[in-house]
Amino acid sequence: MSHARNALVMLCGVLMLRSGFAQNEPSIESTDHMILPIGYHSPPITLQCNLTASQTKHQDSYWMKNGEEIPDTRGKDKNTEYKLNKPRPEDSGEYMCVYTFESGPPANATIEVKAAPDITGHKRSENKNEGEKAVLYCKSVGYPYPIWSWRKLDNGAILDIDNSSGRFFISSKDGYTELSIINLDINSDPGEYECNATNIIGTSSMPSVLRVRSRLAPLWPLLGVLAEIIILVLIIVIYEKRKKPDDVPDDDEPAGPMKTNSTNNHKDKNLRQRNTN
Amino acid sequence: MERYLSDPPDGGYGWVVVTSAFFIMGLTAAVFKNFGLFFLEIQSYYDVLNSTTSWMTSTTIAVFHLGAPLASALSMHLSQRTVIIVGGLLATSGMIIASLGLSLPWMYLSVGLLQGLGVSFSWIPANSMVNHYFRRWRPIAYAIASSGECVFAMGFSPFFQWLIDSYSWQGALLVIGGLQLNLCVCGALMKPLPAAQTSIQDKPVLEDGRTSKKGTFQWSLLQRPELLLYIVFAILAAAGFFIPPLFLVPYASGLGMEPYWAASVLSVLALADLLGRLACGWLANLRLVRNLQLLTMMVTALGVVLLLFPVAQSYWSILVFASLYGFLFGCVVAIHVTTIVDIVGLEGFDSALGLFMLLRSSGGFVGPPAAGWLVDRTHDFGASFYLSGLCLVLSGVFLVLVDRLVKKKLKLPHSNTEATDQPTLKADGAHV
Repeated sequence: MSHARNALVMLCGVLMLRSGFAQNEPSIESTDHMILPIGYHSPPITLQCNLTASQTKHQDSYWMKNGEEIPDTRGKDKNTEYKLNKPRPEDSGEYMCVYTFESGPPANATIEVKAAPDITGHKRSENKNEGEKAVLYCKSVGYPYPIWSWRKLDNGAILDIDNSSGRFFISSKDGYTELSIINLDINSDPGEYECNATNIIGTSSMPSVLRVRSRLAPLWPLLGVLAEIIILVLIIVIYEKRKKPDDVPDDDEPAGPMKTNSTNNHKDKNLRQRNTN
Repeated sequence: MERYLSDPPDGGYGWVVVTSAFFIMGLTAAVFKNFGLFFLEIQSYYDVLNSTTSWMTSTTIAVFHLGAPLASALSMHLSQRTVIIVGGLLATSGMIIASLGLSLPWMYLSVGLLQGLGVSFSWIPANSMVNHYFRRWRPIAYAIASSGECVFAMGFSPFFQWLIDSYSWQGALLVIGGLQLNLCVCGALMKPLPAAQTSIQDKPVLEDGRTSKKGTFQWSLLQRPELLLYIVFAILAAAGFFIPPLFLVPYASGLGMEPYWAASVLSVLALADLLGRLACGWLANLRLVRNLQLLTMMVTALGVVLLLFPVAQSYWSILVFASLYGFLFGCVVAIHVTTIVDIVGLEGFDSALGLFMLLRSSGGFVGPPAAGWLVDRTHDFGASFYLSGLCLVLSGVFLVLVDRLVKKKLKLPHSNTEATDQPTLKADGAHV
């Protein structure tokens, strides 16, 4: 008898545990956690929450993503939906439907929408002078936030970055990572670098090219231009000398037709005249 | 009557001068137009505000205009060739010093003062030479020379960007400085003309043979009402000119246009500018109407286009209006300098040009801030176009007055002069 009673008590207890939520706390049925397919062509998805039982009348409901309320999602229905018409990797995250009550704390249910990371922003190429600092970065979307790593591509082979010189610094946070190289070295640093984002669903990487300019590089075109100028000036000078060897144009020399006959009167003056008609 | 030159070559070596002027205008004005490409780089290098770096080019503009009368006077005392060569050396040294990138005030000195002075010393005498070397073909010769600015501006845009990417902004400035040394080469080609200084009858110009100069800077020209009114036109027109380029991109962005499309509008504008200059030079050469009348028509049309500009709300309508604006702008630029010869004659041209550039700069300085204030008050970028259109239409009024005065002075018949554009046509109707 006592066994049966114990069992009954236990059963009631278990039942109470299960429906204890039902009796004292509201229960919400929600969509299962899901994984977004890779790419930008997945079919529309709907997140649903249904308030199946509640102690008091509920006020309204709304959705949250990654801890922030999504605007324009407030409603009065027990059955609330959030539609993603064209799900993209940035739509992934931790979604929550929240029900508020007239009396008592709000209740919520969490739906995790996971996706593989997709790198949306990165610098394709960076040109810097030697000795300067270069910063390469990558931005990604996709939940959960990925683990970042940077590698160097050398003739197709992927190598880890050699930081024996201590000039490489990586800083990553959530969906953003930065690779800083200080005191650029023109011999070892130029090349292709790759940022890699990996989470539990998938992985993605993007290359960035780093070019290091030599400080003396612009001198070559400058010398070329100077050579061109010297050649042109020589041509002009030689041409003018050959055309009029004894008649270098003198700007102060008056010339031109003089219609008066008064040259005789100006004999005393220091005039230079040209014989023209 | 005095004639600065009894018989301009009107061809022959003049075309060499035009080519040289083409390159000079390209190497000065086009470099300046594309300097905006350096702004971001220089601003981040020195870690200052955008407005601080733009003082560099403001100084260049200021020094250019202030140096204009100086350049005119010097080219009269020495020769245009010498002044252009000096200008080339100044501009090059400015760029090379700027490429050292020592500090921001150093940049103001190099890019602002040296480059501005160099540009002024090259540009003004080049203008002067083209006008002196031609008579009959003057409008088209000047139009071809000034189109150098457009052609080079279009080519320099991608070229400068590539220079900055390949050599960093310091290296790019160094290379550009070297390129500007070509100004000296162009200057060497500007053979001075033999000048007829003596007057015909009674005024011996050479009182003292050793110091015979080409002429002195004629400040007295300012007393002539027709020149004064023309300068008022120039001031208003400058205000109208400098406003639209600054506000075109913000206006387009305000309508939702992306930066790439807005930049393409600017390219179309530059192309229309080029076509306008060449077309109007050719048109002015046909001598169907007087230069002043042609200029009045173009200025008024430009003002009307600007007043109507805010009607454009979509990409294609903005493109149409911008190309119209560019075309008419080119027209006005092509003839507004050669018109000075019609007003003061060739011997007063150099002095008048210097004064013209100096005084019209005031319009260029006042215009953009006034437009900016108006835009802030009305919260509408279209207001800037209204203001510039109004300035231009108003300036057209002054042009009509100038035309009347010049006509009165010359006692010209209503028909247009076919053979020459020199005011000193008739023996008794000489204008002094």
